[in-house]
Amino acid sequence: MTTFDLAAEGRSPGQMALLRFRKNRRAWACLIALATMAGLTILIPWISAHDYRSANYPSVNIAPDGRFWMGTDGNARDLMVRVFRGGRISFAVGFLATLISLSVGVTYGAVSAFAGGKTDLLLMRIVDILYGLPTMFVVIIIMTFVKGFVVVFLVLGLLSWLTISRIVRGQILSLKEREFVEAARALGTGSTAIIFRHLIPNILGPVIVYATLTVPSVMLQESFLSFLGLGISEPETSWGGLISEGAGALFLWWRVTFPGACMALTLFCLNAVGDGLRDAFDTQQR
Amino acid sequence: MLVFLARRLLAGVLTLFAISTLSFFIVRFAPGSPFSSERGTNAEVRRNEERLYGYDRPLPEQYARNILGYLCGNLGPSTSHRGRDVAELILPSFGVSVKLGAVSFVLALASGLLLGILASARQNAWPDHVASSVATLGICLPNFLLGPLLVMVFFTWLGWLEPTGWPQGWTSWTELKKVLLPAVTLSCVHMAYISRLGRAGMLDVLHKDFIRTARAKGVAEPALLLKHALKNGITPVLTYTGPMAAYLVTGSIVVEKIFAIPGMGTHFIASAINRDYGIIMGCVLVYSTLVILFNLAVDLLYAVMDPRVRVT
Repeated sequence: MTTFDLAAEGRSPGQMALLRFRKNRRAWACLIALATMAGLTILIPWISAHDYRSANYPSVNIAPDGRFWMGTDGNARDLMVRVFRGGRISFAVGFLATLISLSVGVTYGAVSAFAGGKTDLLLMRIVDILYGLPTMFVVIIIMTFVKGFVVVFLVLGLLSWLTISRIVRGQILSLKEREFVEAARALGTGSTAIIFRHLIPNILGPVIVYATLTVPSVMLQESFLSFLGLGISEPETSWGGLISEGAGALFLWWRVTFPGACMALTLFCLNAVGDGLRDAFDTQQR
Repeated sequence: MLVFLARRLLAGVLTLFAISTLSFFIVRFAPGSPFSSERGTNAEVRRNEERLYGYDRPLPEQYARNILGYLCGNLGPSTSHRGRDVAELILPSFGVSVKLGAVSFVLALASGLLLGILASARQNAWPDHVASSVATLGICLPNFLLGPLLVMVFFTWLGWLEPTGWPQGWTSWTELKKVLLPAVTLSCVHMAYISRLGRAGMLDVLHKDFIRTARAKGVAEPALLLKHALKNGITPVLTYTGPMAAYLVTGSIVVEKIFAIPGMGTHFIASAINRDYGIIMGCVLVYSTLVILFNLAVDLLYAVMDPRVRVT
């Protein structure tokens, strides 16, 4: 009975992918863990009795106890609030930078493929050259003179759209020859509308998959910068910054272990969810 | 083949040109100057210093001079180290970074391939599970986290290895030990990726007909894996080694910081903060050249490994 109902409804490829993803227990568990972690980064700094900036002298470098669950840092600040506050920044940078990288990359790739000919050639040559650019070096140079949260995600986002633009271009190149594009054109639809209303929605699958893999890579880059002391600056913090501080005081095990564990767990889950989505959207495997 | 090489080298030179142009203008438009950190210098002294290095000239002229210098292999003077050339400053630290990078490269490739081959030979048995756990660990432990953790375990707790001090040679065990910890830190992620890629590539090949034929002929399992399957299964790994060189380069910045290694990354960060234009550009150029050459080498290796690949 139920199968009959479902069959009668018919499902879009997107719905099918979602169903496949649901059946992937590991990916689903990781998604829940990820949501929990994200929720905690919002909740804990909010409900905690401690503030991420204020020092609780004389409790400097206290091991985890009943009052400070994750101990305190060298400035007598509660580590738990700082870990989750830092996580909030790491998540925010990851998602915002991915959003920027997606909007630039998808538009660039789609326009390049749709325009074709000389424009396509020129735009893709630019991508080739930018690929040769040592991104991290450019980021480091930029971060030595501008600081702050907004700069971090803007710079990381604006420098990580190259691969997605290539993927999108490849997909659109084959899509634009299909009949529905011809039909849209025959109905008098403009190029912009064809790109954004007809072509891009059709390639959302690979775009979503790539986006979930961009988030951890951007988070890593942000932590990398903060580790070098170039990303988020005090009193604000991020996981990279906390790990860097903890690495300077290794005999105080809690200072590197807690931010490190949170980061490792998040990276693990993001990668697992990304893999799960790829399996779900990859129709060739079926 | 020669045409291919010539064309790729030309493209490489053009890429280098584009990179040096871009980084020149990014560095120059950045606020601050090489001389702004010296407090108490009056305007006239500063002007003299700028004149000494030619920084008072119009930007296009400086740019042209810079590029001409690079074409003649001259990286120019350094502003933060008086009276010394960028080349003579970078060279020793470049040697240190290359040593670290080379050890990490070999380590990642050897252990990653070993894990990958074992995992593919015993699919879904314990070697496979071990390999996949190691791969997972490698991916969620970035080098700036793994480094401190390794130091904590092996130095602070166990006292086996010394975390700092870069050795002059590599002959003795004590010297080798000092290279090992940074190299493991730097190569772990790549070992993880290589083992995954190697496993997938090998499994792909092991299902092919010619492997079944070889097995039917009675080829022993080790020979089958290493002589028949490996050559074909290794292609994805080979593709990865090009980008890996670039990742090792950026990764070494962090690893050099953790283990206080006097390499190029340390130089680069310091000069980016001090606005030593010469060293910044020198580092970027050396790194880019390295990455370009590496990608070229990988493309040539394809042709060696698989005669069907035509390099044109």
